[in-house]
Amino acid sequence: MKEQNHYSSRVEALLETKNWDELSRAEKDIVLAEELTAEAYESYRCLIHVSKKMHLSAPRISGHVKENLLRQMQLRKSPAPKKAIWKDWFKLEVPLWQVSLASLAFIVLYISGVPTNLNNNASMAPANEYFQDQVDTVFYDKEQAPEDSSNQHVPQLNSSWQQTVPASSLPDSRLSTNSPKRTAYLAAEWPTTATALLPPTPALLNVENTIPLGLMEIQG
Amino acid sequence: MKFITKGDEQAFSVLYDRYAEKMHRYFYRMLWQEKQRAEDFTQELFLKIINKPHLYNPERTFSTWLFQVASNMVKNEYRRCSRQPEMTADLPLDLPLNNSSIFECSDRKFFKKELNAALARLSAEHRQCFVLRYLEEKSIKEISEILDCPEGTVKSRLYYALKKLAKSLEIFKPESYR
Repeated sequence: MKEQNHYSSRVEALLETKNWDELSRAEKDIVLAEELTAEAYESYRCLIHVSKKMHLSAPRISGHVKENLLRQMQLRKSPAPKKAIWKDWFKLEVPLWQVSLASLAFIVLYISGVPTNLNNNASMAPANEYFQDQVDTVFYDKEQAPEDSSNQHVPQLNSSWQQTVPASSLPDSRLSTNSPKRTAYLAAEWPTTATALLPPTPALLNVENTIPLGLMEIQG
Repeated sequence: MKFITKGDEQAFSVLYDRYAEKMHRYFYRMLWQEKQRAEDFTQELFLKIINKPHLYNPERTFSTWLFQVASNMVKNEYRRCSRQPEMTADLPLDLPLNNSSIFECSDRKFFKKELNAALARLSAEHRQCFVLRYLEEKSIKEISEILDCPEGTVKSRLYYALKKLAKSLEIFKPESYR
């Protein structure tokens, strides 16, 4: 048999509302069925009743708690206004010795005439004249290199987007026929009127960038 | 709560008047009946309402939510102090040994004092259930929400809390002290 570990809601409700004498016959049966004797029932009721009374007679909360909370609420309601940074500049306190030193330095510089001389020289020289007494740079003409007519470094192209590539320069996997020359379409952009006149780009010259011959072969 | 979120002081004042005493009593009962500590906790609880009103879930009743927050604060305090009340079952009460004198002495104050002590000696879970159910008159469902545990657990805790209390005070014949 399972051990009882709680009272039913019905008994709970009865405990709070009725004493033993006020219970009807049926209600008493319900209470007794839950292994609760009349004495225990009354004892529980008493405990609940007295502790409730005690609870209600607990000391009251101080009034200053509410004041503190309301003050806190006011603070939260009105956030601190933002200060203008430039206002603080006027409030800065500069030591007198620094001001004195700066003034003294200015006077000394003024009297020694460093800035004034520069100013005078600039005003005396005419703006549109330039004199150069010393030669500081000498230019020598370099001998021109002979013109390279062979153009060995830049291969000839049939057009800017179509190139005849020697079969020997292709990877082995692409040599599927005995043809000495193959025409491959390079994986470059379709030429426009502007790009057709331009020299071949490195990408255009790179054999690896070609589309596999097996797919795009035109000439065997 | 909507008004409080907007900073309405009057709304807060109404809310405070309605719940402050209740929450103070709850903290007082749960935190070793120390008035100052109970006040501090009540203040802290309402500060949370002011500073973090968005934490309130409008799907729940305000009272349940408030007690849930309070209950968590109490749990944290127990953890912080590592000072939980002990179980009563095997602890003898400081009573006179002469039973006849007890029965003759119908001192209600003494009984109340012992009831207080017995309540304080209940385990935290049992005491919380007892306080919420019988002193704050919350329903089992509400308590299960507040303590975040099944209703069966709440019922079971109440059952044992009552039994322990009755056992602690059986010497008084509580039914005669109403």
